[in-house]
Amino acid sequence: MLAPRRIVTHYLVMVGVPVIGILIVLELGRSLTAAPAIAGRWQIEPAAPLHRLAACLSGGTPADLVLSISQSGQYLAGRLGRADASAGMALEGTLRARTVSLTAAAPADGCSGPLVLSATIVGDGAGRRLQGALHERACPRCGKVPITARRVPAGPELAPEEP
Amino acid sequence: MPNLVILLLQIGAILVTARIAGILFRAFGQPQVVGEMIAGIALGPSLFGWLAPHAFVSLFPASSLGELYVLSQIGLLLFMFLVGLEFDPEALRGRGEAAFLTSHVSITAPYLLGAGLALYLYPRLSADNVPFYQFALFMGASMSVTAFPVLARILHERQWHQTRLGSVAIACAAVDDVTAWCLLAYIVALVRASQGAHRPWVTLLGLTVYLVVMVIAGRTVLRGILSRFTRTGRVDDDLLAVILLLLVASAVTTEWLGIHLLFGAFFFGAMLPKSRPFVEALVGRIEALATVLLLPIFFAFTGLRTSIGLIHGSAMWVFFLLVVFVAMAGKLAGATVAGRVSGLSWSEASVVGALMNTRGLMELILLNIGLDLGVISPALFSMLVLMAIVTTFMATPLIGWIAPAGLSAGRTPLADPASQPG
Repeated sequence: MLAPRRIVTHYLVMVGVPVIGILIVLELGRSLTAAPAIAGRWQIEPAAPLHRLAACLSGGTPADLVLSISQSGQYLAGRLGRADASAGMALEGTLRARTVSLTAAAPADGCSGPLVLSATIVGDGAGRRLQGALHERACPRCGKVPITARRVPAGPELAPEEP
Repeated sequence: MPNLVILLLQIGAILVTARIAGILFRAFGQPQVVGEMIAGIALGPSLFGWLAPHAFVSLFPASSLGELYVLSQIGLLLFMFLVGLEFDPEALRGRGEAAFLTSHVSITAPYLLGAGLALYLYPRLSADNVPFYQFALFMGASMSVTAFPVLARILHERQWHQTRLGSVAIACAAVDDVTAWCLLAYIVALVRASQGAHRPWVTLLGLTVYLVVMVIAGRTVLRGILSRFTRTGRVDDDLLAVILLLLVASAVTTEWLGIHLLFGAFFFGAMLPKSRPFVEALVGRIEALATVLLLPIFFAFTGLRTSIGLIHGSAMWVFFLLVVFVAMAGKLAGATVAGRVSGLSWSEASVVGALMNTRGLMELILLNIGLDLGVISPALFSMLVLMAIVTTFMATPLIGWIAPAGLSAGRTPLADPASQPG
């Protein structure tokens, strides 16, 4: 084994250098920005009747439509359904800059294509809201239903249940 | 169905799956804990929820998970207490300097790489409610953990614990444990203070008082515990109740201080007398309940939060491979080089590196804390859980491949330290 003095020298070099490196990394990272935080539950407020999307919203067109978002930075997984139901339509998507794009993993029965939610993040902090539209991807003439979504208190953080 | 019935059904399913997976993995020369970790993942949305979604939602409805969480936390509390109890400063005698060097390099090297990886992952896998420094500190910590229990089990199974390599590895892992938990306590306190949950000065002052009480006043109580054990020769029910009460008091104190209750459990275990008969008697009373019943519940709870489906698309899999590569490179290279500098041969040093690379249960504990604090995102959590399984799984075959021939057979203790290069 090494003499204690050499061990101390080796310790100072081999531990000290990484510690300095960690401090440099922390300094470098101060200028980085991450995606806006939108994880949680959002109450959907449609600006027009949802009836024309009834076929695409499995479970009908409830008044209390809630979007649950599980966020991993730019990568989103969501669930769209009634506020009191644990199940709902599974969505996947991304967040680029402040634009949210979520698409149903599979089209609902009777719907020609998957449901799409496109929205922009408006505002910051607790007042953040989503403003955009719900539409059916494979049906351009069906039109879009404009929506606004506001945050509702979050539940425990668990991986979303598989459909 | 009433919640109690659901809970009992859940426990039954968890026990059956964990035991079967444990036996299967043991048959293939893997530590039982690897099978139990994989059983936990299998019970979650990644496999059970994917194969039988309706049965999965019926067995694990979201409303029932609170009870499972409480049981899993009690399991962890007992487990961390046992880890602290098994920590013996005597293991460092005569090799403390080498153990500190190897252990601290095997923490700082992966920590640096993990923090460096955070520069790349933060804009992609984090959100703006998590400051970069918290994300980077946590990524570093998640790369630096070593699973002391798995490492000790591998050494005992191969009868290496009485060789020089085995004793250096045990000493390294012991130092690693203490250092890693102190680091984690610091990060948790930092995050909670930034979230406004605790005032930093309360945490700092309270921690100082806690440590002073534990070290000075606590010793009198702990000596009383040992003298009672010496008189009766066993850990009777009254003594066990006193120890559990003190364990709960220590855990509640550190939780209240904003550090984390597991730190209090670990520290109380570490403070208890290290008389071998006492430690063995106490472990004998607690271990079976913790490891057979409660830890598989923790693995299942972790599995319920792990969704491999969140790692989708080539970019996400590239992130995952980067995480695994960085975790392995930092631990293997850091511990191997430091072991060599401390006087081990290259092959011995690389066995120490491979042993230190096992993360196992300790990593899962850390990751759950990170997810609870909101420092890591669900997809990153899933990637890091898979990384923990991969690095723990690979330990046994990797060691079998690189171990020196005499050592592999478990027959020949290594030569006298003085004859080793260095």
